[in-house]
Amino acid sequence: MNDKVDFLDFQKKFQEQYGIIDQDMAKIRKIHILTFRTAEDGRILSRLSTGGIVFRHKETGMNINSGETWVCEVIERNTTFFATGLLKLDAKFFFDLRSDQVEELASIVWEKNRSILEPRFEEMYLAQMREKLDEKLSESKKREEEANSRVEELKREIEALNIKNKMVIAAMESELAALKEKKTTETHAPPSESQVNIEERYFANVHPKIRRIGPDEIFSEDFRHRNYFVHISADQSAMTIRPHDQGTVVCVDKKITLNGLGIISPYSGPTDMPAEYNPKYGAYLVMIKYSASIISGDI
Amino acid sequence: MALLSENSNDRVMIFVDLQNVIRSVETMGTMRLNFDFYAMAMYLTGTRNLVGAYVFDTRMPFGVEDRLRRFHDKLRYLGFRVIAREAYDENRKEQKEVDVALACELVAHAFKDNYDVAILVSGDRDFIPAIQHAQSSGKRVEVAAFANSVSEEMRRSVDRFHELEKMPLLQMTSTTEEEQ
Repeated sequence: MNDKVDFLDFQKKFQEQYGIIDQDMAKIRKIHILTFRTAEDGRILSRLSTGGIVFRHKETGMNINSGETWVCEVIERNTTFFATGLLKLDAKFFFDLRSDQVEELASIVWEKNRSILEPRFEEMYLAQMREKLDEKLSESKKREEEANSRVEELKREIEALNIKNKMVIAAMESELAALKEKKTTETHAPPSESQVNIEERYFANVHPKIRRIGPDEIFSEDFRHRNYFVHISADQSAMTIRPHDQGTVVCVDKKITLNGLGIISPYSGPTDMPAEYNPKYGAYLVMIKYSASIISGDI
Repeated sequence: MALLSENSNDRVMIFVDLQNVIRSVETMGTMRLNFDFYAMAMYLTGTRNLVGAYVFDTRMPFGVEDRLRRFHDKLRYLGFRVIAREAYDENRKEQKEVDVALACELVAHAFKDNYDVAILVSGDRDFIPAIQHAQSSGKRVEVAAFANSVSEEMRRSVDRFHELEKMPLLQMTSTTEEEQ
Protein backbone atom coordinates (compact mmCIF):
# COMPACT_ATOMS: atom_id res chain seq x y z
CA MET A 1 0.00 0.00 0.00
CA ASN A 2 2.64 2.42 -0.97
CA ASP A 3 0.38 4.37 -3.32
CA LYS A 4 -1.69 6.85 -1.38
CA VAL A 5 -5.19 7.70 -2.53
CA ASP A 6 -5.06 10.89 -4.59
CA PHE A 7 -7.69 12.80 -2.71
CA LEU A 8 -7.66 15.81 -5.06
CA ASP A 9 -8.20 13.55 -7.99
CA PHE A 10 -11.01 11.86 -6.09
CA GLN A 11 -12.63 15.25 -5.37
CA LYS A 12 -12.44 16.19 -9.05
CA LYS A 13 -14.16 12.95 -10.03
CA PHE A 14 -16.74 13.48 -7.34
CA GLN A 15 -17.55 16.96 -8.70
CA GLU A 16 -17.92 15.64 -12.22
CA GLN A 17 -19.99 12.68 -11.18
CA TYR A 18 -22.51 14.64 -9.14
CA GLY A 19 -22.32 18.00 -10.99
CA ILE A 20 -21.38 20.02 -7.97
CA ILE A 21 -21.00 23.73 -8.53
CA ASP A 22 -17.62 25.42 -8.04
CA GLN A 23 -18.76 27.39 -4.99
CA ASP A 24 -19.59 24.20 -3.17
CA MET A 25 -16.48 22.57 -4.45
CA ALA A 26 -14.36 25.29 -2.87
CA LYS A 27 -15.72 24.15 0.44
CA ILE A 28 -15.26 20.46 -0.39
CA ARG A 29 -11.66 21.11 -1.44
CA LYS A 30 -10.92 22.20 2.09
CA ILE A 31 -11.69 18.66 3.25
CA HIS A 32 -8.68 16.39 3.54
CA ILE A 33 -7.88 13.04 5.07
CA LEU A 34 -4.76 13.43 7.13
CA THR A 35 -2.65 11.25 9.38
CA PHE A 36 -0.95 13.15 12.15
CA ARG A 37 2.44 12.46 13.70
CA THR A 38 4.69 14.01 16.31
CA ALA A 39 7.50 16.11 14.89
CA GLU A 40 11.02 16.28 16.38
CA ASP A 41 10.13 19.45 18.29
CA GLY A 42 7.14 17.65 19.89
CA ARG A 43 4.43 19.38 17.86
CA ILE A 44 1.69 17.26 16.29
CA LEU A 45 1.39 17.90 12.54
CA SER A 46 0.60 16.37 9.17
CA ARG A 47 1.45 17.09 5.56
CA LEU A 48 -0.85 17.71 2.58
CA SER A 49 -0.28 15.89 -0.71
CA THR A 50 0.80 19.21 -2.14
CA GLY A 51 3.52 19.40 0.49
CA GLY A 52 2.04 21.99 2.89
CA ILE A 53 2.47 21.39 6.62
CA VAL A 54 -0.76 21.19 8.60
CA PHE A 55 -0.92 21.95 12.32
CA ARG A 56 -3.84 21.32 14.66
CA HIS A 57 -6.19 24.31 14.98
CA LYS A 58 -5.58 25.71 18.44
CA GLU A 59 -9.30 26.05 19.20
CA THR A 60 -11.05 23.35 17.22
CA GLY A 61 -8.31 20.81 16.41
CA MET A 62 -6.74 19.97 19.75
CA ASN A 63 -8.66 16.68 20.01
CA ILE A 64 -6.40 15.26 17.27
CA ASN A 65 -3.60 13.05 18.60
CA SER A 66 -0.41 11.73 17.06
CA GLY A 67 -0.87 8.62 14.93
CA GLU A 68 -4.55 9.28 14.25
CA THR A 69 -6.14 9.69 10.83
CA TRP A 70 -8.87 12.30 10.50
CA VAL A 71 -11.17 13.76 7.90
CA CYS A 72 -10.28 17.39 8.44
CA GLU A 73 -11.29 20.80 7.28
CA VAL A 74 -8.08 22.62 6.49
CA ILE A 75 -7.83 26.42 6.68
CA GLU A 76 -4.95 28.19 5.00
CA ARG A 77 -3.22 31.10 6.78
CA ASN A 78 -0.43 32.52 4.61
CA THR A 79 1.74 29.47 3.95
CA THR A 80 0.60 27.43 6.93
CA PHE A 81 -2.42 25.21 7.24
CA PHE A 82 -4.56 24.49 10.33
CA ALA A 83 -6.81 21.44 10.66
CA THR A 84 -10.13 21.00 12.45
CA GLY A 85 -11.02 17.32 12.96
CA LEU A 86 -14.41 16.36 11.49
CA LEU A 87 -14.36 12.58 11.63
CA LYS A 88 -11.80 10.22 13.10
CA LEU A 89 -11.00 7.29 10.82
CA ASP A 90 -10.51 4.44 13.25
CA ALA A 91 -11.81 0.89 13.67
CA LYS A 92 -15.19 2.25 14.82
CA PHE A 93 -15.54 4.13 11.56
CA PHE A 94 -15.00 1.01 9.52
CA PHE A 95 -17.31 -1.09 11.67
CA ASP A 96 -20.08 1.49 11.21
CA LEU A 97 -19.88 1.27 7.42
CA ARG A 98 -22.73 -0.37 5.52
CA SER A 99 -21.98 -3.61 3.70
CA ASP A 100 -22.09 -1.97 0.28
CA GLN A 101 -19.64 0.68 1.53
CA VAL A 102 -17.35 -2.05 2.86
CA GLU A 103 -17.47 -3.84 -0.46
CA GLU A 104 -16.73 -0.65 -2.36
CA LEU A 105 -13.85 0.09 -0.02
CA ALA A 106 -12.51 -3.43 -0.29
CA SER A 107 -12.68 -3.39 -4.08
CA ILE A 108 -10.84 -0.07 -4.19
CA VAL A 109 -8.20 -1.33 -1.80
CA TRP A 110 -7.91 -4.54 -3.80
CA GLU A 111 -7.62 -2.81 -7.17
CA LYS A 112 -5.07 -0.35 -5.90
CA ASN A 113 -2.95 -2.96 -4.12
CA ARG A 114 -3.57 -6.04 -6.17
CA SER A 115 0.04 -6.50 -7.15
CA ILE A 116 1.08 -6.56 -3.50
CA LEU A 117 -1.88 -8.42 -2.03
CA GLU A 118 -2.12 -11.13 -4.63
CA PRO A 119 1.26 -12.81 -3.94
CA ARG A 120 0.66 -12.52 -0.20
CA PHE A 121 -2.76 -14.10 -0.41
CA GLU A 122 -1.41 -16.71 -2.75
CA GLU A 123 1.31 -17.53 -0.26
CA MET A 124 -1.19 -17.74 2.61
CA TYR A 125 -3.56 -19.84 0.53
CA LEU A 126 -0.79 -22.18 -0.50
CA ALA A 127 0.37 -22.54 3.10
CA GLN A 128 -3.16 -23.33 4.20
CA MET A 129 -3.67 -25.77 1.33
CA ARG A 130 -0.39 -27.49 2.18
CA GLU A 131 -1.46 -27.80 5.79
CA LYS A 132 -4.85 -29.27 4.83
CA LEU A 133 -3.29 -31.64 2.34
CA ASP A 134 -0.82 -32.82 4.95
CA GLU A 135 -3.71 -33.45 7.35
CA LYS A 136 -5.66 -35.37 4.72
CA LEU A 137 -2.57 -37.34 3.78
CA SER A 138 -1.93 -38.39 7.36
CA GLU A 139 -5.62 -39.33 7.72
CA SER A 140 -5.47 -41.41 4.55
CA LYS A 141 -2.32 -43.12 5.75
CA LYS A 142 -3.99 -43.93 9.05
CA ARG A 143 -7.05 -45.32 7.25
CA GLU A 144 -4.82 -47.36 4.98
CA GLU A 145 -2.99 -48.83 7.98
CA GLU A 146 -6.32 -49.68 9.64
CA ALA A 147 -7.61 -51.30 6.45
CA ASN A 148 -4.38 -53.27 6.09
CA SER A 149 -4.57 -54.56 9.67
CA ARG A 150 -8.26 -55.51 9.13
CA VAL A 151 -7.31 -57.35 5.94
CA GLU A 152 -4.63 -59.24 7.86
CA GLU A 153 -7.13 -60.09 10.59
CA LEU A 154 -9.66 -61.36 8.03
CA LYS A 155 -6.95 -63.41 6.34
CA ARG A 156 -6.15 -65.05 9.66
CA GLU A 157 -9.88 -65.72 10.28
CA ILE A 158 -10.26 -67.24 6.82
CA GLU A 159 -7.23 -69.40 7.41
CA ALA A 160 -8.64 -70.62 10.76
CA LEU A 161 -12.03 -71.30 9.13
CA ASN A 162 -10.36 -73.21 6.32
CA ILE A 163 -8.54 -75.39 8.83
CA LYS A 164 -11.75 -75.92 10.79
CA ASN A 165 -13.71 -76.72 7.62
CA LYS A 166 -11.07 -79.20 6.54
CA MET A 167 -11.34 -80.91 9.93
CA VAL A 168 -15.15 -80.95 9.72
CA ILE A 169 -15.04 -82.31 6.18
CA ALA A 170 -12.56 -85.00 7.23
CA ALA A 171 -14.74 -85.95 10.21
CA MET A 172 -17.87 -86.03 8.04
CA GLU A 173 -16.14 -88.09 5.40
CA SER A 174 -15.03 -90.65 7.98
CA GLU A 175 -18.55 -90.63 9.47
CA LEU A 176 -20.02 -91.14 6.00
CA ALA A 177 -17.62 -93.98 5.33
CA ALA A 178 -18.58 -95.58 8.64
CA LEU A 179 -22.29 -95.19 7.83
CA LYS A 180 -21.77 -96.70 4.38
CA GLU A 181 -19.95 -99.61 5.95
CA LYS A 182 -22.67 -100.00 8.55
CA LYS A 183 -25.35 -99.87 5.87
CA THR A 184 -23.57 -102.56 3.88
CA THR A 185 -23.35 -104.74 6.99
CA GLU A 186 -27.00 -104.13 7.83
CA THR A 187 -28.05 -104.93 4.27
CA HIS A 188 -26.37 -108.29 4.59
CA ALA A 189 -27.52 -108.97 8.13
CA PRO A 190 -31.30 -108.69 8.69
CA PRO A 191 -32.43 -106.75 11.77
CA SER A 192 -32.88 -108.77 14.93
CA GLU A 193 -36.30 -109.94 15.99
CA SER A 194 -36.28 -107.79 19.13
CA GLN A 195 -35.59 -104.63 17.16
CA VAL A 196 -38.45 -105.36 14.80
CA ASN A 197 -40.68 -106.14 17.71
CA ILE A 198 -40.00 -102.99 19.64
CA GLU A 199 -39.63 -100.36 16.99
CA GLU A 200 -42.08 -101.54 14.34
CA ARG A 201 -44.67 -103.58 16.12
CA TYR A 202 -45.19 -101.33 19.12
CA PHE A 203 -43.82 -97.96 18.08
CA ALA A 204 -44.75 -97.47 14.45
CA ASN A 205 -44.89 -93.73 15.01
CA VAL A 206 -41.74 -92.39 16.69
CA HIS A 207 -43.34 -88.98 17.16
CA PRO A 208 -46.79 -89.77 18.56
CA LYS A 209 -49.34 -87.05 19.09
CA ILE A 210 -50.36 -87.40 22.73
CA ARG A 211 -53.06 -85.07 23.99
CA ARG A 212 -54.11 -84.25 27.51
CA ILE A 213 -57.90 -84.32 27.49
CA GLY A 214 -58.63 -84.22 31.19
CA PRO A 215 -56.97 -83.82 34.58
CA ASP A 216 -56.12 -87.54 34.68
CA GLU A 217 -56.71 -88.49 31.05
CA ILE A 218 -54.50 -88.63 27.98
CA PHE A 219 -55.43 -89.62 24.45
CA SER A 220 -53.49 -90.69 21.36
CA GLU A 221 -54.25 -92.36 18.06
CA ASP A 222 -51.07 -94.35 18.70
CA PHE A 223 -52.46 -96.03 21.82
CA ARG A 224 -53.29 -99.31 20.08
CA HIS A 225 -52.73 -101.73 22.96
CA ARG A 226 -54.88 -102.63 25.90
CA ASN A 227 -52.27 -102.55 28.66
CA TYR A 228 -49.42 -100.15 29.31
CA PHE A 229 -46.77 -99.53 31.90
CA VAL A 230 -46.64 -95.85 32.74
CA HIS A 231 -43.78 -94.46 34.82
CA ILE A 232 -43.05 -90.94 35.97
CA SER A 233 -39.77 -89.48 37.15
CA ALA A 234 -39.52 -88.38 40.76
CA ASP A 235 -38.81 -84.81 39.69
CA GLN A 236 -42.09 -85.04 37.73
CA SER A 237 -40.52 -83.83 34.50
CA ALA A 238 -40.87 -86.93 32.31
CA MET A 239 -43.22 -89.84 31.83
CA THR A 240 -42.76 -93.08 29.89
CA ILE A 241 -45.59 -95.06 28.32
CA ARG A 242 -44.71 -98.62 27.33
CA PRO A 243 -47.14 -101.17 25.91
CA HIS A 244 -46.97 -104.46 27.80
CA ASP A 245 -49.39 -107.36 28.24
CA GLN A 246 -49.04 -107.16 32.02
CA GLY A 247 -49.16 -103.34 32.13
CA THR A 248 -50.97 -101.83 35.09
CA VAL A 249 -52.65 -99.09 33.07
CA VAL A 250 -55.61 -99.98 30.89
CA CYS A 251 -56.31 -98.20 27.61
CA VAL A 252 -59.92 -97.78 26.57
CA ASP A 253 -60.91 -96.08 23.29
CA LYS A 254 -57.33 -94.84 22.89
CA LYS A 255 -57.66 -93.08 26.23
CA ILE A 256 -55.52 -93.73 29.29
CA THR A 257 -56.56 -92.70 32.77
CA LEU A 258 -53.66 -91.99 35.12
CA ASN A 259 -54.50 -91.66 38.76
CA GLY A 260 -52.92 -88.53 40.24
CA LEU A 261 -51.76 -86.91 36.97
CA GLY A 262 -53.89 -83.86 37.74
CA ILE A 263 -52.03 -83.40 41.03
CA ILE A 264 -48.60 -83.81 39.46
CA SER A 265 -49.36 -81.51 36.55
CA PRO A 266 -52.42 -79.25 37.01
CA TYR A 267 -54.86 -79.43 34.11
CA SER A 268 -55.56 -76.17 32.26
CA GLY A 269 -57.53 -77.37 29.25
CA PRO A 270 -56.75 -79.76 26.39
CA THR A 271 -53.11 -79.57 25.30
CA ASP A 272 -50.67 -81.56 23.19
CA MET A 273 -47.88 -83.15 25.19
CA PRO A 274 -44.43 -83.30 23.56
CA ALA A 275 -43.55 -86.95 23.09
CA GLU A 276 -41.23 -89.23 21.16
CA TYR A 277 -40.10 -92.82 21.09
CA ASN A 278 -37.05 -93.21 23.31
CA PRO A 279 -34.92 -96.29 22.57
CA LYS A 280 -33.16 -96.07 25.94
CA TYR A 281 -36.44 -96.67 27.77
CA GLY A 282 -38.07 -98.63 24.97
CA ALA A 283 -41.11 -96.44 25.46
CA TYR A 284 -42.81 -93.23 24.49
CA LEU A 285 -41.13 -90.47 26.48
CA VAL A 286 -43.57 -87.69 27.32
CA MET A 287 -42.25 -84.36 28.57
CA ILE A 288 -44.42 -83.07 31.38
CA LYS A 289 -42.13 -80.20 32.29
CA TYR A 290 -39.36 -78.94 30.04
CA SER A 291 -35.89 -80.06 31.03
CA ALA A 292 -32.78 -79.84 28.83
CA SER A 293 -31.51 -83.19 30.10
CA ILE A 294 -34.65 -84.93 28.87
CA ILE A 295 -34.28 -83.54 25.38
CA SER A 296 -30.61 -84.49 25.15
CA GLY A 297 -31.38 -87.95 26.48
CA ASP A 298 -29.07 -87.73 29.49
CA ILE A 299 -31.61 -89.14 31.89
CA MET B 1 -19.64 -86.48 27.36
CA ALA B 2 -18.52 -89.35 29.58
CA LEU B 3 -14.82 -90.19 29.66
CA LEU B 4 -15.54 -93.86 30.26
CA SER B 5 -17.74 -95.33 27.58
CA GLU B 6 -20.32 -98.03 28.10
CA ASN B 7 -19.25 -101.35 26.67
CA SER B 8 -21.95 -103.88 25.83
CA ASN B 9 -19.68 -106.66 27.05
CA ASP B 10 -19.34 -105.13 30.52
CA ARG B 11 -20.64 -107.36 33.29
CA VAL B 12 -22.81 -105.30 35.59
CA MET B 13 -23.73 -106.07 39.16
CA ILE B 14 -26.27 -103.96 41.06
CA PHE B 15 -26.25 -103.50 44.83
CA VAL B 16 -29.37 -101.85 46.29
CA ASP B 17 -29.59 -100.44 49.79
CA LEU B 18 -33.37 -100.83 49.94
CA GLN B 19 -34.14 -98.68 52.98
CA ASN B 20 -32.04 -95.80 51.61
CA VAL B 21 -34.08 -95.77 48.37
CA ILE B 22 -37.43 -96.11 50.14
CA ARG B 23 -36.59 -93.25 52.55
CA SER B 24 -35.57 -90.99 49.65
CA VAL B 25 -38.78 -91.72 47.70
CA GLU B 26 -40.87 -91.01 50.80
CA THR B 27 -38.96 -87.76 51.40
CA MET B 28 -39.75 -86.59 47.88
CA GLY B 29 -43.47 -87.02 48.63
CA THR B 30 -44.40 -88.58 45.32
CA MET B 31 -47.96 -89.53 46.23
CA ARG B 32 -46.90 -93.00 47.43
CA LEU B 33 -46.35 -94.17 43.87
CA ASN B 34 -44.62 -97.52 43.60
CA PHE B 35 -40.93 -97.36 42.87
CA ASP B 36 -40.20 -99.79 40.04
CA PHE B 37 -36.98 -101.59 41.00
CA TYR B 38 -37.14 -103.80 37.94
CA ALA B 39 -37.24 -100.78 35.58
CA MET B 40 -34.45 -99.17 37.57
CA ALA B 41 -32.21 -102.23 37.11
CA MET B 42 -33.01 -102.29 33.39
CA TYR B 43 -32.35 -98.58 32.81
CA LEU B 44 -29.13 -98.60 34.87
CA THR B 45 -27.83 -101.65 33.03
CA GLY B 46 -28.72 -100.32 29.57
CA THR B 47 -27.19 -102.43 26.83
CA ARG B 48 -24.66 -103.98 29.20
CA ASN B 49 -24.81 -107.47 30.59
CA LEU B 50 -26.49 -107.73 34.01
CA VAL B 51 -24.93 -110.60 35.94
CA GLY B 52 -26.45 -109.98 39.33
CA ALA B 53 -28.74 -107.66 41.26
CA TYR B 54 -28.59 -107.65 45.05
CA VAL B 55 -31.06 -106.01 47.41
CA PHE B 56 -30.01 -105.55 51.03
CA ASP B 57 -32.53 -105.06 53.81
CA THR B 58 -33.47 -106.28 57.31
CA ARG B 59 -36.12 -108.78 58.23
CA MET B 60 -38.08 -109.57 61.35
CA PRO B 61 -37.36 -112.76 63.34
CA PHE B 62 -39.43 -115.80 62.53
CA GLY B 63 -42.93 -115.54 63.99
CA VAL B 64 -42.97 -111.72 64.06
CA GLU B 65 -45.15 -109.98 61.50
CA ASP B 66 -42.98 -108.52 58.73
CA ARG B 67 -44.72 -106.08 56.39
CA LEU B 68 -41.76 -106.19 53.98
CA ARG B 69 -41.72 -109.95 53.54
CA ARG B 70 -44.14 -109.89 50.61
CA PHE B 71 -42.18 -107.14 48.99
CA HIS B 72 -38.94 -109.10 49.35
CA ASP B 73 -40.66 -112.08 47.74
CA LYS B 74 -41.82 -109.91 44.90
CA LEU B 75 -38.26 -108.69 44.34
CA ARG B 76 -36.99 -112.27 44.39
CA TYR B 77 -39.67 -113.16 41.83
CA LEU B 78 -38.37 -110.35 39.59
CA GLY B 79 -34.85 -111.79 39.78
CA PHE B 80 -33.22 -109.83 42.57
CA ARG B 81 -31.13 -111.62 45.19
CA VAL B 82 -32.53 -110.30 48.43
CA ILE B 83 -30.16 -110.44 51.38
CA ALA B 84 -32.16 -109.60 54.50
CA ARG B 85 -30.29 -109.46 57.80
CA GLU B 86 -32.16 -110.40 60.91
CA ALA B 87 -30.83 -107.47 62.87
CA TYR B 88 -33.15 -104.54 63.44
CA ASP B 89 -32.84 -102.24 66.44
CA GLU B 90 -36.47 -101.75 67.42
CA ASN B 91 -35.64 -99.05 69.96
CA ARG B 92 -33.50 -96.90 67.67
CA LYS B 93 -35.57 -97.74 64.59
CA GLU B 94 -32.51 -98.51 62.54
CA GLN B 95 -31.19 -101.46 60.62
CA LYS B 96 -28.00 -103.22 61.61
CA GLU B 97 -25.40 -105.19 59.61
CA VAL B 98 -26.96 -104.18 56.29
CA ASP B 99 -24.34 -101.64 55.20
CA VAL B 100 -21.48 -103.94 56.11
CA ALA B 101 -23.14 -106.86 54.32
CA LEU B 102 -23.50 -104.77 51.16
CA ALA B 103 -19.92 -103.48 51.37
CA CYS B 104 -18.57 -107.02 51.87
CA GLU B 105 -20.52 -108.31 48.89
CA LEU B 106 -19.38 -105.42 46.67
CA VAL B 107 -15.72 -105.92 47.55
CA ALA B 108 -15.82 -109.74 47.56
CA HIS B 109 -17.31 -109.86 44.04
CA ALA B 110 -14.74 -107.35 42.87
CA PHE B 111 -11.88 -109.46 44.22
CA LYS B 112 -13.37 -112.56 42.64
CA ASP B 113 -13.66 -110.68 39.32
CA ASN B 114 -17.36 -111.43 39.09
CA TYR B 115 -18.23 -108.09 37.54
CA ASP B 116 -16.71 -105.22 35.53
CA VAL B 117 -19.07 -102.50 36.71
CA ALA B 118 -20.72 -102.27 40.10
CA ILE B 119 -23.77 -100.05 40.42
CA LEU B 120 -24.47 -99.09 43.99
CA VAL B 121 -27.98 -97.80 44.59
CA SER B 122 -27.49 -95.71 47.71
CA GLY B 123 -26.30 -92.25 48.60
CA ASP B 124 -24.81 -93.31 51.95
CA ARG B 125 -21.21 -92.17 52.21
CA ASP B 126 -20.39 -95.09 54.54
CA PHE B 127 -19.82 -97.08 51.35
CA ILE B 128 -16.96 -94.90 50.10
CA PRO B 129 -14.17 -97.18 51.48
CA ALA B 130 -15.78 -100.22 49.86
CA ILE B 131 -16.11 -98.30 46.57
CA GLN B 132 -12.44 -97.36 46.71
CA HIS B 133 -11.43 -100.97 47.31
CA ALA B 134 -13.47 -102.13 44.32
CA GLN B 135 -11.96 -99.38 42.18
CA SER B 136 -8.45 -100.28 43.29
CA SER B 137 -9.04 -103.82 42.05
CA GLY B 138 -9.73 -102.42 38.56
CA LYS B 139 -13.51 -102.26 38.74
CA ARG B 140 -15.67 -99.39 37.71
CA VAL B 141 -18.18 -98.24 40.31
CA GLU B 142 -21.28 -96.24 39.52
CA VAL B 143 -23.73 -94.83 42.02
CA ALA B 144 -27.43 -94.25 41.52
CA ALA B 145 -29.22 -92.17 44.11
CA PHE B 146 -31.62 -89.34 44.70
CA ALA B 147 -29.98 -85.94 44.93
CA ASN B 148 -31.47 -85.43 48.39
CA SER B 149 -29.70 -88.47 49.80
CA VAL B 150 -26.21 -88.30 48.33
CA SER B 151 -23.19 -86.45 49.62
CA GLU B 152 -20.79 -84.48 47.47
CA GLU B 153 -17.95 -86.72 48.66
CA MET B 154 -19.82 -89.72 47.29
CA ARG B 155 -20.32 -88.06 43.88
CA ARG B 156 -16.61 -87.36 43.69
CA SER B 157 -15.61 -90.89 44.66
CA VAL B 158 -17.51 -92.77 41.96
CA ASP B 159 -16.87 -93.18 38.25
CA ARG B 160 -20.39 -92.24 37.23
CA PHE B 161 -23.42 -90.88 39.01
CA HIS B 162 -27.02 -91.59 37.98
CA GLU B 163 -29.70 -89.19 39.21
CA LEU B 164 -32.64 -91.38 40.08
CA GLU B 165 -35.11 -88.51 40.32
CA LYS B 166 -34.72 -87.89 36.59
CA MET B 167 -35.48 -91.48 35.64
CA PRO B 168 -39.11 -92.46 35.08
CA LEU B 169 -39.28 -95.07 37.80
CA LEU B 170 -42.46 -94.30 39.71
CA GLN B 171 -45.21 -96.54 38.47
CA MET B 172 -48.58 -94.97 37.75
CA THR B 173 -51.89 -96.80 37.67
CA SER B 174 -55.37 -96.28 36.29
CA THR B 175 -57.06 -96.93 39.59
CA THR B 176 -56.83 -95.33 43.01
CA GLU B 177 -55.11 -97.02 45.95
CA GLU B 178 -58.46 -97.87 47.55
CA GLU B 179 -59.61 -99.61 44.38
CA GLN B 180 -56.42 -101.68 44.34
